[in-house]
Amino acid sequence: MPRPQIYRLALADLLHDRLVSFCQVALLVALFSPLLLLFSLKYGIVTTLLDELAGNPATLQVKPIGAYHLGPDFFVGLQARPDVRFVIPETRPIATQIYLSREPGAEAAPPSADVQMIATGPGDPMGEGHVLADAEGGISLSAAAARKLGVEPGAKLLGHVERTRAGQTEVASITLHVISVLPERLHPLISAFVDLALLVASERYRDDFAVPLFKTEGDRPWQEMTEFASFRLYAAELQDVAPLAAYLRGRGVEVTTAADQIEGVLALDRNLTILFSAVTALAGLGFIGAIAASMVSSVERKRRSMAVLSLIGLSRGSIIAFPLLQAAMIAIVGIVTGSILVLAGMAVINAYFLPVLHQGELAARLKPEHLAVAALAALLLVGLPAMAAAWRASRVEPSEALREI
Amino acid sequence: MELLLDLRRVRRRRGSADGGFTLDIDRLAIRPGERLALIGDSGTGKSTCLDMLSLTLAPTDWERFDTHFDGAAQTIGALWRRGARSTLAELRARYIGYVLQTGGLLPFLTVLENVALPRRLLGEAPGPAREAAEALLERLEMADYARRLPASLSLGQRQRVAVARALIHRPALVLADEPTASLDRRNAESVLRLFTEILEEQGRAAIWVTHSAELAAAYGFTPIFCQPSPGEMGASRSVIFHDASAEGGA
Repeated sequence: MPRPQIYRLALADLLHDRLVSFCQVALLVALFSPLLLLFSLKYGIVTTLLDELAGNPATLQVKPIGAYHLGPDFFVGLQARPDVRFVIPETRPIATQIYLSREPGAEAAPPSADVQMIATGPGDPMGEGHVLADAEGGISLSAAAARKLGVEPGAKLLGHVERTRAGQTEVASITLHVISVLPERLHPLISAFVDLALLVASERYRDDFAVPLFKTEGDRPWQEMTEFASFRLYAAELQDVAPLAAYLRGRGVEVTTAADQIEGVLALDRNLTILFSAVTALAGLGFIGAIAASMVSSVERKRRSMAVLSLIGLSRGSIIAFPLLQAAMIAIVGIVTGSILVLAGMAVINAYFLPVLHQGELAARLKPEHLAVAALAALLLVGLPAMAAAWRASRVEPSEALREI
Repeated sequence: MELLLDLRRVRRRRGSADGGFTLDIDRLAIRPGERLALIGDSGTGKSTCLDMLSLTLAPTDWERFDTHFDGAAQTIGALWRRGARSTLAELRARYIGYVLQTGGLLPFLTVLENVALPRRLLGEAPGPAREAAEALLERLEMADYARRLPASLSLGQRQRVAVARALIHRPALVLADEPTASLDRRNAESVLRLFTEILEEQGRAAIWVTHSAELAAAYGFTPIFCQPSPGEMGASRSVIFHDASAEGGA
């Protein structure tokens, strides 16, 4: 540890040599601020785009095309995959219609609607963390369906499913209640998210089975379904969508995804990262060269002063610490100044882009750890040339002070 | 009385044996408070001698190289052999003062800070160190320049500041390397007069390197000589001899 006096002397010399010190700080700020600002912009834009995609479950969805015979093995296999966030079977589209009406009360003709049922279950991304349906008649409505029926969560509904049997139209009814209403952005159609058992019951009912859930008789006794025509599937992460689609195609299930959209953003991120790395590497190299030249020549200019300090009793360690401490002071001032400029620049950029961004979105964004890594990198970039300067300083002999130079 | 410096057969060789240069300090025994002028022409090894006495240059061989600063004995030869550079640096800071040919002041400190620095390096608080520096600058007729930077001073003024810095911590030994070589006569005289006056008051030993034996004698410095003498196989060699213990010690 150098004597405390060396800190004072190093600072006094920096202040005396203020033009060179200012240039060194400016050099560091000129490297630090633009690069970090560029990074914040890259990070902000890519994060915003990815958040927008990831915030919309539809982006994660892998949609099957056509009808298949998919057995339990298929669904167990899918559920076991770590890249699957949620999967639920779907019945034939023809069997998903349900006629919903409010319980008849004071009004003579309560509002009603033909609604398409969609099976749901625990962990459905459409629920955004909430359960949408249960086995006790709890369902969730899309915003459009809720509007049409004029209901809010908690409302009671009657559901009616029709079939034609031996030339006669039959209707089965079931009492339902609304657990929640999905926001418009998640699902724009007139739909109800229901327990899978209700869908299965409707399909079985239409196929003339006896259905215990509806308390109805039929031509055939009740039988659980073991094969489904389709499914609703969501990948765990954006980057899982493409491999998951490939897996399904490999099993003969044709699918569509938003992969192009996702791949576009991921490619943008990759390309921006390459660009940023190249710019950083070049700028960093140039910076090391410039600051090394400045620091080493400073030590050479101050050789006599260092020799005098050494002669009047500063240890060699303190003499070596002299340029290192100065470099640290330059780095700290540069990093603090640079960070302030970056934060100011980010504020300006975000204010500029505010009109085209959604609530909570930012064009330029930095995490504290980004700033920490940048500061550490700056310390390293200043530290390396400072080592060269310190090595020069370590070669100063106190007897040089006694000579005329 | 103990000797301040006690050197016997201290040798420093530079370069190869033939064509190189050897300085032999056969004997150098200095009492506390003794004032010597080291006299010799250029190239006779005065600087080499000064380097070794200032504990910045290691001797090549020695029989004895001891100091008695503050009543404690330090075996400098052993310190060099152990490579105890930081101990040597501490001894320099505490017990030796230097007046260099051209000031050697730190350009980034004011006159006052330059003078106070040796005391600050010894751990003294800023207040007392500054007061002592102010008093000494007053004594050297430089009080008005205390807040200035060395670059704004004349050569003569810088040498006075250099004298103040060398003496501020009352070192046991003051080494002065031709401190007035770059000054005109009038300036040189006033610097030397103040230097010797303060040395006298403090009672400190001093070694003044100079070309002129007459000038040295005029200020009460005992001349000792760096004598060129035949070296081995044509190499240059100088010899220094001064034994205060033999002359006046008994």
